Parts: sequence; C-alpha cells; structure tokens
Amino acid sequence: MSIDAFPPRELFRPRPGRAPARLARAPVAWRRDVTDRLRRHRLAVVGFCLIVALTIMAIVGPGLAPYGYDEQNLSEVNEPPSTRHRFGTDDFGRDVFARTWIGARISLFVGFTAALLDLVIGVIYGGVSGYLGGAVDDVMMRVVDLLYGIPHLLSTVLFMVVLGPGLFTIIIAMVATGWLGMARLVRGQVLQLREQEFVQASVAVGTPFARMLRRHLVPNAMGPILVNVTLTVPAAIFTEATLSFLGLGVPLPLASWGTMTAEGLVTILSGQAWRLAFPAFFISLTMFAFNAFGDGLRDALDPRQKR
Amino acid sequence: MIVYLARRALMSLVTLWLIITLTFVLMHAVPGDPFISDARVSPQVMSNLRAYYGLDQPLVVQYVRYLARLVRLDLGRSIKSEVRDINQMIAEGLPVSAVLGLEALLVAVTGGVSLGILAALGHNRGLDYLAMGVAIVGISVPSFILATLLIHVLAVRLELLPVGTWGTWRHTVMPALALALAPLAYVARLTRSSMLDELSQDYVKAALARGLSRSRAILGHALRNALLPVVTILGPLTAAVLTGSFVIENIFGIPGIGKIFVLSISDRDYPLILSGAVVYSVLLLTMNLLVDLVYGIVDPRIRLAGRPLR
Amino acid sequence: MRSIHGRSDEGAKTTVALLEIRGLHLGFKVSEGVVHALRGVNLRVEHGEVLALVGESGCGKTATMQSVLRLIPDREIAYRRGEILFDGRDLARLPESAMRSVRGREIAMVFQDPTTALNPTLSVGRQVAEAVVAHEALGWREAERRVIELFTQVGIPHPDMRFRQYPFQLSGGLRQRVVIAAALACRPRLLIADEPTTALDVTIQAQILALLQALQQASGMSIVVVTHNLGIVAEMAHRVAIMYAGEVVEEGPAAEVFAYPSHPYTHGLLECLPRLDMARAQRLRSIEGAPPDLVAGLTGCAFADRCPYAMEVCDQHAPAMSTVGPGRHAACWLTHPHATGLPRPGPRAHGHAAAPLPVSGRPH
Repeated sequence: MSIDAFPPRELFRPRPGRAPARLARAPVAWRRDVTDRLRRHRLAVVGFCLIVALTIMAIVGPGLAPYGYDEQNLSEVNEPPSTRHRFGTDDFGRDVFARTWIGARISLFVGFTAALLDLVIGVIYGGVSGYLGGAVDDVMMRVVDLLYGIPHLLSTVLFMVVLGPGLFTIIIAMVATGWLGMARLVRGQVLQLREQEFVQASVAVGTPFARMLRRHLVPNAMGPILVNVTLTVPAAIFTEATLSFLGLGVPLPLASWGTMTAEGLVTILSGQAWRLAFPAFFISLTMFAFNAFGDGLRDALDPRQKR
Repeated sequence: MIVYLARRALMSLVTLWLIITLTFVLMHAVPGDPFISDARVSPQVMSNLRAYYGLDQPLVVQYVRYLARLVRLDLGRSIKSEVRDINQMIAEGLPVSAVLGLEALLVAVTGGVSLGILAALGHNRGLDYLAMGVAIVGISVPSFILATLLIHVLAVRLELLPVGTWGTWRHTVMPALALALAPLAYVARLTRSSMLDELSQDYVKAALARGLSRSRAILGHALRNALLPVVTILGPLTAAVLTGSFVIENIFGIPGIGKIFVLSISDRDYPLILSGAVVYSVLLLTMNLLVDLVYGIVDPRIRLAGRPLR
Repeated sequence: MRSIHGRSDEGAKTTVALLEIRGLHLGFKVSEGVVHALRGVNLRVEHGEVLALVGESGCGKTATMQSVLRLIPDREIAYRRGEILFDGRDLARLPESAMRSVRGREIAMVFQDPTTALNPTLSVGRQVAEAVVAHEALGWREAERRVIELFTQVGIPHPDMRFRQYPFQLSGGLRQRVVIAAALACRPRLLIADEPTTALDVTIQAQILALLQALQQASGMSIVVVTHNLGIVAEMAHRVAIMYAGEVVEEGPAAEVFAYPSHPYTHGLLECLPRLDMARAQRLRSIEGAPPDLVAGLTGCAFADRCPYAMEVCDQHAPAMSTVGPGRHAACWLTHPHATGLPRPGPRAHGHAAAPLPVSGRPH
C-alpha cells in the first residue's frame, strides 16, 4: 500500500458537529434576474439612455433655443447651421433647432399616447376575451382576426381622410386598428394564466373580475406586454412620419419630425441638407433607441438563458 | 390540405368584404363632397355631376351598386384625375408597382436569409454582432429616409444612378433598396433566431452523432426547419412592402399605383381611394393565400393532417 | 486527484477494453463563469458487456457520453483534459474528419427523447438511410432496402409503409425503435443509450429494454446505458458505474454492487428505493441535502456534506479510486486502511431482496 502515510491517521475519525453546508447558489428573485440581465445587455442600456435623453430634450429643448419654433425671420431664410441657429433655418427663417425639439415633443407624444391607448384597449379587450373564454372568446377573437387582415397603414390613412387633420385625429386613426396586436397578446397570456392554480384559487374565493385583472392577470403577463408597448412606440412614430409624407400629418402651426422631413424632402437636390437631415436623423435615432431597448427587454425576459 | 386552404380563402373573402364596406362607410362619412373645392362650378353643373357619379342616391343604393360593379371587376371612374377610367389607371400602374415590389421582396428575402444564417453560425462572435447591428439599424431607419440618403449619395454626389423617372433597370435599384431594407432586417432577425432555435435541438445533435458532417446537419436539417417561420412572415412582409411603396413611389416619381393612391388621398377622389383600398387588399390577401399554400406544401403535418406543426 | 485504477488489482485486466476513459475533466462556459462538470472521470467498457452509468440529474453522465463522441460544441467548452481510448485510439485527439467516421459507424448513440431526436419535417426512413448512405457509400435504393431490414429487426411492423412516414405519425415506442434502428444502421461496436426509456410509457419501456438486450446478445456489441433508474440496471446491466458530482464514485458487477455497496452514496441510492415488503408506517428514505454547486471549486469529497459516515479527512482531501474487490472500485476514504473499524454502510439484505426490482418484473 503505497499511500500508507498520507493522509494522516488522525483525520480518520467521525466529524464533530454538523457538516459545512455546501449550498447551491441562492435562487435569484425573478424580477432581480430580469433587471440584471437587462443591465448587462449593452444595446438595451444604450437605448434606454437615449430614450431618457430624448424625452428630456423634448421637454426642455424648445425652451433652450433662443428662438420660438414658430418665429419667422424672413431675413434669415434657409441659412446653414451656425452659432446663432444651431441647426440652421428653414424656408420661413424659422430656427430648425427649436422646431426639432417641438417636433420631438409632438412625435414622442403621439408615440407614447398611441402606445398607451393600444395598451388600455388591448388589455381590456384581450383580458375579457381570455378570461371569459368559450363562445364569447371565439367570437371576439374572430372579430380580431378579421380586422387584423386590414393593413394597418391603409386603415389609418382611411380614418385620417375621414377624420381630417389634427393631432388627436392622428392618434385615434392609429389606435383604431393598432390595439389588435395587443389584444391578441393579452388574450394569449390570460389563457395561459387561467390554467395556473393561483388564479383558480382566486376565482374560487370569489374575486371580482376587475380586481383579478388588476392584481393577478396583469402583473403576471406584464413582461411580454411591456415588450409590445415598447415596440409599439417606434411603429407609431414611423406611421406618423409616413402620414406626414402623404400630407396627412399634424396640421400647421404644429410641427412633427414627420412633417419637417416631408417639408425638407424637396431640398435634397438643392443642397440644403440640414432641413432634412436633422428631423430624419432624430426619427431614426428614436426608433433605434426604442427598438434596442425593446429587444433587450425581450431577451431579458426570455427564460432560455443560452442566448 | 384542401380544407385548410378553403377555410383560409373564405376568411380572406370576408376580410375583403369588410375592408370594402369599411372604406365605403368611411368615405361617405366625410361631410361635404368632392366637388366643394371647385368653387367656380355652377350649382346646375354640380347637380349634374353628382347625378352622373350617382352621389345623389341614398347610401344603401350607392353601396349595392358599388358591390355589383366590383363583382363585375369594374372599379368605376375617377373624379379628379385626367384619365377617368380607374381600371385603365390600375392597368397602367400595376405592372410598375409589381416589378418594384417583387424586386424589393426578392432582395429582402435572399439578403435577409443569408444574413440571418451567417449571424446564427457566427453566434455571439463578431459576425453576429455586425449582422444584428445592421439589422437593428435597418428596422429603425424609415424607408423614405433611407431613400433620401440613397438619392443624396448615389444620385446627387456620385451620379451613379438616375432618379425621377422610370425606364431601365437602373431606375429600380434605389427604390428597391430603400423598400427592401426594413423587411430584410426583419427576415434576418427571424432567420437568425429561428436557426439558433433549431441548432440547439436534439435532432441536429442526433444527426451529428450518426456521423453526418456539420454542413450536412446544418443545411440539410436545421435550415429546412428554420425557414418555416420565415415563410409565414412573407404575408406581413408583403404588406410592409406595399404600404412602403406609397411613399417610395412618390419620392422617386415612379408611375405605379402607389403614386395614384397617394394623389387620390390629397385630392379626396373617393372612387379612386376606394379602388385603391380594394386593389391593395386583394393583392395582400392573395399573397397571404399563396403563403398559406406554400406553407401547406412545406409543412408535412398540414399536408397530411390538415393542422400545423407548431 | 490521483487515480490508481486497476494497477494493484487481482485478476487485473490484461485485455484492452473497448472503451476506456481516463481522467476526463470538462468545464462548460456559462454566464456565471465556468461549470466544472466533469472532475476526473474514469470509466471502462469491456467488449460485449452492458455497462450502466447511474447518477442523478446533473452528475455528468450525459456530458461524459457526449464527450466520447465529441458532440459538445467547442464554443461551449472552457477546458477539456484526459483521454478517451477507443480500441487504443484516443478519440479526444482525433481530427474531426476521422471522428466523423467513428460516429454512427463504430460508436452510435440513442438519445433520450425520440420525439426531439428526429427531424419533424423529414420522413423517418430518410433519416435512417442518411447515415447508411454517408458511411457505406450505398445508393439510396440500396439504403432503403437496408433500412427496411433494420426496421424489421427492431420490431417495426409494416416497415415499408413506415419508411415514408413522418415522426408525428408514429407512437413514442415506434419512434424510439426508429432511433435505435438508426443507431444500429452501420453495425457499431459500442452503443450509447442515453436514458433510452425515460420519455416512454412504462409498458413500452420493458419492450424497448428487451429489444436492446436481444440486439446486444445477437451482435456482441457493448452498450452503455445511461440512466437514473436502478430497475433498468438490475434488468440488463452486467456492470454498473455510479457517478456523483462529475466523477465516478463506485463501479463493479451490478449484482455485487447492489448487495454490498462500498460507497455511502450508492448505499443511499439503494436505500431510497421503496420496497413492497416495507411496513406501511415506515417513512420513505431520502438522502438529505443536494448535490454541490459545480461552479465553485470543491475541496475534499463531493459527497461529504451529505454523507452519514463522513470523517474529518473527507472534508479536506478528495478520495482516490481504489480497489475494493475483484473488478470493483470505489472512491471513498472508508476503504482506506486507516478507516478500519469506523462505521460504514453494511451489506444489504441478501439475495434478490437486495437488488432493485427489474423493470420487466423478472429477477435478474
């Protein structure tokens, strides 16, 4: 026996006291896990910071500019960016910098509001449909399926033609068919949750439906819903910009990034790039920020960690 | 499979009818009528015109007449434009838009699938990040902004490609690219995540365990299954290309139906708007049915059992 | 960790084993760092025998077997050390092209879930034929004939009809037979069956096991059955190797290990099995605690914190594998001469009552 001496004999006796616990890693709370993963996702962090920055600028930006967004100055028409007009001026001598941040206000307002309304309508419709189930659910979802076949932009355009120009008409036109996606999503989540035991227990106790929705169904379905809301905002901004291009954007004197881009389009060939470049850049940047953050959120919520 | 397709076709018809009705209702919900803006027209001529277009009839009658005409494939007459017969306008514009749209779809699908596969194979390494970076920019930059960028760089600065007219294949490059970028990005992202899903499946490992080469296992097994979800996305993709063409055709001055439709909106030319909506919906629903057909052929479960695999 | 496998053994093996794994260490890359999944695995499979590889989930049995065939993608591996000798050749060092001709041809693998192990959009016959075409350069017509033969061999009725069918058209048991047919297609010398019956109904399990046994006896190939089900071990294994926390802790002839377990973990596993002759009021036994976290480094014996016979030495030094009988080895300090007289797991009730009840109900 070549290993006679080692280990020393003294160690060969029963261990006094309890064994040192070799615990596996403490399980991490779900919410903490998600926020951790989100924080590690670099692109999502970038997106989030951009969103915050843009929102702040939308609020304070117009105030920062020395000129009003509507202030015409016919002696300084179409000037390139300078120290006085940081983003240059447009056809009427208006300061593009100020208009850009008013545009931010309008575009972000439209985006957030449309997303919010989509959320509310979608949650109620989808929640009710999923919860009630059976024939009611069938009918409600059949309606959704049919309406879903109508291209979103097409229906928005049609509504705009009918409702006429205006900030709120744009939002209404977008929401008119925009809520369908959210409704489907929420209904799917509710159907899943309905089978869970804690929900069945709540029902057995007699919880009223509104409370069920608020305290059980919505918080647990929150993840995918939040992702959907985050991704709806850039879609709404995009739709608003497209509407502006078709002449159905926000009416004067308001200016959104979409209307500014449409106005600035004619300048490509004349070399006054700044009138087009700034609103176009900010539309893209905003959409990028929301998409990046939404992506990161979706990945963070994904239970499969490999990715 | 026949049952499956028949059911989808029926749903499509109902949706089409819904769109037609909705559009009709909306058009006639607008106060006033298209002739209001023509102030110099005398009241007598106005009432004649209204009678000519059938606008003096009760709504229900107009609706039934409209439906009857649609069944005969007669889209009516435009109010505002020079060429009155809408069927003719469509016939002139549709081939143009079709060429553009198909070109864009082709670029989007081939480019997107290739990019997605490359990204999936180079997972979490340089190629993946690059490809996905391009993709996220692609879905964030609206097509019209990209269009202006392309025009600025390729036409104005470098003078490589023509702009403003339509004729040779050169005229199609920029608009097709502008239309295709966002769909390409979506296809790339979907292909990538779908491939990653399939590559982690057991049957790929099992194929490798049987001694198949990596390329055989990836292309012959994983890719087959990974492309199924991509087929289903072709429907919404076509919708995106179609609606994108509204703006793109305007920017590039392309004489397609997108341009006609946009003009009809600003002119409040209702018969044309209605027709535009109908034509677009028919195109989309047909495309969706085609996609369903292809999917039905590719997915063995539908082919044999009438219900989808996943 | 030192390994003194088989050197001072009576009846030492002079023949070359079909498969011999020596000192296999494997680490996986995960987001928290590295998981030390295999911490020095030593394993030996002789020609013509059935070896059962037993352990709970996460102990490394699948990782070990997938390492044999080098199925784990390189990008997931943090480090890999050790030798995997198949007929004398070190598979760990073979170039990929040579490895490809080993996979499916000399060593084949049957995966746990036949539903996910088959491509849902290809016909089952096509998938089995693929391997034949790849390895033996047969035409597709020839290959189809061979596959139909194989289907008959594994007990699939109407093989020519089934050839063209898709996985979703077959029941779980049939699917597993297809997977087995695919594994046997090129007459491998070693078959690795990773939990071959876990995903199947109990009634089908017995059929599949009987099939594997029959095939093994007919062809003389060796089988490694990876399982956590001791009933399967009793049913068909000649020898058994018990794994815990990334290493083999005990191995030997199945009947002997069941009757006289050397390692406290083995003893614990056997005690966990409920028996029909237990008194009703008797509580079911379990092993307290949980397997250790393999991301952190481990000192001492991996089982020490759950072991009722643990000594001080167990917390400080990891035991090496030592011989405890002819063809039997265990990694436990209790086998050390210094530990004579100390409490240890005793032999279990004699005879058949000691062994786990075989799956088919027939005593081993």
